[in-house]
Amino acid sequence: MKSTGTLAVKNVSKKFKSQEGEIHVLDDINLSVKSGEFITIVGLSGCGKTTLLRLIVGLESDYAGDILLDGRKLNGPSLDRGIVFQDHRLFPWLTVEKNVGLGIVGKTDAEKKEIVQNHIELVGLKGFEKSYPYQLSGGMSQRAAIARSLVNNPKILLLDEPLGALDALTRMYMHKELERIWKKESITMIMVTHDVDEAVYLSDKIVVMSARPGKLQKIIPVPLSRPRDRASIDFAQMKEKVLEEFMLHTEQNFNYSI
Amino acid sequence: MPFIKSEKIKTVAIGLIVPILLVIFIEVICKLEMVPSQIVIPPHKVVITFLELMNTGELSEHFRISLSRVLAGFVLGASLGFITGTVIALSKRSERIVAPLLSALSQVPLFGWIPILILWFGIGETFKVVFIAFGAFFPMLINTFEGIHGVPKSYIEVARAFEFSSVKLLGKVLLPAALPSLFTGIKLALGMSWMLVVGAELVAAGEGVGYLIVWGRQLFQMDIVFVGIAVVGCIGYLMFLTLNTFESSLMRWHRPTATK
Amino acid sequence: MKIKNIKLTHVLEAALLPATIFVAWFLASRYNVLPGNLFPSPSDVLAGFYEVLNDGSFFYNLNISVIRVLKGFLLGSTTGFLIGITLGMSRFLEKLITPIFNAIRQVPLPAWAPLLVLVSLGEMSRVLFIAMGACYPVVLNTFEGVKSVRHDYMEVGRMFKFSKVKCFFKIILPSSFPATLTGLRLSLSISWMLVVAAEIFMTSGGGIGEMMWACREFSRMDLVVVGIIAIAFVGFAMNFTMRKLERLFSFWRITLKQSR
Repeated sequence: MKSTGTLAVKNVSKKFKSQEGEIHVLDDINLSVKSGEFITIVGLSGCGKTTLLRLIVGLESDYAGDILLDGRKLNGPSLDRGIVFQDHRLFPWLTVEKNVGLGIVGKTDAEKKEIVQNHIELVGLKGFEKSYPYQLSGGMSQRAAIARSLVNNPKILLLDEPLGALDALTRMYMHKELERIWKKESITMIMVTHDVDEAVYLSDKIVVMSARPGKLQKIIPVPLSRPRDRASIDFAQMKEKVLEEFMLHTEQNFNYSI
Repeated sequence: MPFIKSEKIKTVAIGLIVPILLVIFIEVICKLEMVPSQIVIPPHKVVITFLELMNTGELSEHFRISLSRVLAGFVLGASLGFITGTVIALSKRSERIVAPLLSALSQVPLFGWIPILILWFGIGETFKVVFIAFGAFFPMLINTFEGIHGVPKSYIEVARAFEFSSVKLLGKVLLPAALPSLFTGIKLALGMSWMLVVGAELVAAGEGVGYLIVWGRQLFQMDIVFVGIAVVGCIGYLMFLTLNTFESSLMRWHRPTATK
Repeated sequence: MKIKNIKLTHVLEAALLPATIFVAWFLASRYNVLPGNLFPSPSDVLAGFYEVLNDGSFFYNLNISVIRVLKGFLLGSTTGFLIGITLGMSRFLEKLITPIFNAIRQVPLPAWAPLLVLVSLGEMSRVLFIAMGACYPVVLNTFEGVKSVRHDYMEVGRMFKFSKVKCFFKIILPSSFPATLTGLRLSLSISWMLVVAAEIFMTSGGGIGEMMWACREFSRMDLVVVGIIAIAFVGFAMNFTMRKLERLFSFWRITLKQSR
């Protein structure tokens, strides 16, 4: 059966052993993600959001509970789940083209070339095929990393603060690009971030996590129509709603302020 | 911590497997006379010869002579290297004047100096000391220079802000900051000195551990050759260990970086 | 266009010391201040060079040395590369082999020469001697290179379900290659130093070192100087080439460092 990208996280807990004893990183996480949804996980540093992502992608094992993809339990990494890391992790000794083509398996050279070319165009890096990572800006590197993670047509793409290191303007531009790629590929995306603006701009659902141990605090649906307008009152109210979870909202209500 | 201790013991034990097997293997093939006894000798015979040479006092005499040569050459070469390195690191002009000549000289493979030095100084002590000094000079020079050159500008600016004199700047900022690099220089210089003393004693000496090895070869006594090799190896390692301990006690401020 | 930026005074400063030495040398030998047989004049050296060039012995010996060094270097560095990779890939083998490897490495290289003479393998003795010295830096650098492959990169491999073989060829090998190259550069320069040593310690195989050693016996200082200049020049050329190669193959790593 072909994967459709429906994910269910059930009662997942995770502990790390260290010299001082056990650290409870995740506690009883429950989450379900529908096919084609864009979910963001928002939380303070150290709340275990990256660990949750690594569990879903299969890079960490040894946890309590179940993580089911299309109703089947996960078993290690798989080509039907892609990940974009916070640091782009492009191999510095390979060109963009070679980096993007790195994960393609079971294809002829001609097919491979076509896939690589399509994905480079998808992320808007046409003309940079022969460039090396050190010649790219931060935003371009992340584009290449996104292209690399999409070559096997995964049904879920996990993004671990991929835009965290970019400047504010580039980041906003990348939001648009990510939304475009998400629509075009019709793929489930789960992104970890601590940028509330980013979360509201992109997500169908925002998952707010609290720290030590990492718990699901609240799931906030974002019913705004796309493309979203950062200047709209709805958008601002949505942001307030999320910030409230972190006790960071402004006290007076926006409705009175005009 | 008992966990870590047993892990350490295990690591040491694994490291001993190969040497022990090697010793047994050689003992066995010697016992069975599978190889000419002149080329491969059983390890226990090496130990016996070692003890004999120790008892007669021969070994410690050779060792004493080699060590005094190394120390003389090392102190001469390393201190000249240190002074030159400091001067050319502090003054751009002196760097421009001295650097071309020094880098040309450093291109000569060290053993190439042996013939010229013997012609100049004969085969006596002077030749050996100068030869060793040559070897100690360059690593010390390069590391002193790079150490002082590599001191972050920000430290120097701090010193400027406090209006340090140049002597105080050197003593309080530049040399302490360059200490890790100076130690690298000292270690390399001493290692090089030890290698060169053995080399010099191979070609021109009547005593010293290097001579001991040659002497064993001339007598076709493999056991003496092996005693010599083992002794120079162990002493070289002991020198290195001593310097390491000294270094870590002197540089407690220097965070032990996991060398990549 | 860099040349334009160099100041004339800087060039003069750089030329000052070599020029002074040259003039002093020339005058001293002209007016017989120094014994001529120990301090040959520049023209003596040139004449000597012309002599060995004409009778063919210069290039004959240089050729022997270069071929010898290449043999030793190739043998040693290939072995070193394989050992380095193996120790880097397997924790067990690392624990098993590293202690004995380090123990052997402590022995100053010249100490092996008499042993190799005694085993009497002829030319092979000299090649093995060089190969030993060539092996160490490649082992150490390759090992460090493999050990410091970023865990992050390995995770990318896991994400794409790379096999062990694919991980090795796609991640570990390219990522550690610059370190290996550094090892190879050091290895070649040690090899060149050791070929001179080998030709002095283990004579009768020809080579530029042996030529210098023989000239010492006949007090032909001019030819010793010719030899020194020749080995310095070849050493420099080898180092220069290796540095260029290192730059070429690890451009991504060097630019990565600079951009940080």
